[in-house]
Amino acid sequence: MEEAGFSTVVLTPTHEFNRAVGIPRSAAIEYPYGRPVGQVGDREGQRKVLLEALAVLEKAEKPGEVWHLPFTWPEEPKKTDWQPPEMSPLIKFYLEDIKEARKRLSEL
Amino acid sequence: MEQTQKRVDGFRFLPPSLAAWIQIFIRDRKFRGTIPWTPMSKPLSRTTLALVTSAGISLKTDPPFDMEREKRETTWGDRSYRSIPRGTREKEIDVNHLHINTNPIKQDINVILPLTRMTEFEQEKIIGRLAPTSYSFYGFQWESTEFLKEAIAPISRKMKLESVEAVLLTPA
Repeated sequence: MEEAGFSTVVLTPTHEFNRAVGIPRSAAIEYPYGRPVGQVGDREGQRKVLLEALAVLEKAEKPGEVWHLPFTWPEEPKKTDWQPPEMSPLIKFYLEDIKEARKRLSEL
Repeated sequence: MEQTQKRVDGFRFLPPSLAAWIQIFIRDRKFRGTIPWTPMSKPLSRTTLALVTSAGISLKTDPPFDMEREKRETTWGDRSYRSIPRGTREKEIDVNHLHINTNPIKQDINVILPLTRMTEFEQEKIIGRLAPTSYSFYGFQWESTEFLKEAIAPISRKMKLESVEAVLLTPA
């Protein structure tokens, strides 16, 4: 999209993906997947997140910058219920591999 | 570059083994390729914005994203996109995504496609204008080349026609 002439900012729950893909401007948010702007019905909270994310469009000076937004989700990760009701086909397919992943990562 | 104090942990909401699995694919090192860049041509308060999300949102009057094929073909993800006009309300949308709980989006579209919030910002002159159309595609794209051709290129063409200058992207 940047190549097509648009200035972009990604409000991202996993800014670490920019290690693998070049992302022009990231506004990193520590919110559960599927709700990067905020909680259901929380107009004020959503506005604060969006103002910070949009500000990155003007603040970022060079490609690849990641701005870490200062917000904290009010629930513990396990209570956020962000996961789908049924395990995704990909996770199901790679489940054994995923179970081994912590060991493999520590060996890399 | 000025920074806030918090450092976001993008793996905090993942179960530890899934977080580790993803980190095997994206090792902790700096991206080395060239990153495309379009500088902002004017202040945000005069800029026309569109929203683009990977949340799998479609209008009920359009075909939904294809979840059945993905259930059969694990690494396939629907590569099409949907236009979402400004002013679209929760009762007018379907949300299909096999990797997240879609209920919060059905209750309040603004949690990922903040059309109402951006309309407020337009009225308050924080942004210049929200474009007539925003877009959703489907976030699970294992191989991205075809997807860029089939979804991102046509979205970009449509955004040009509506004089969009900047885009807020919200991955699911």
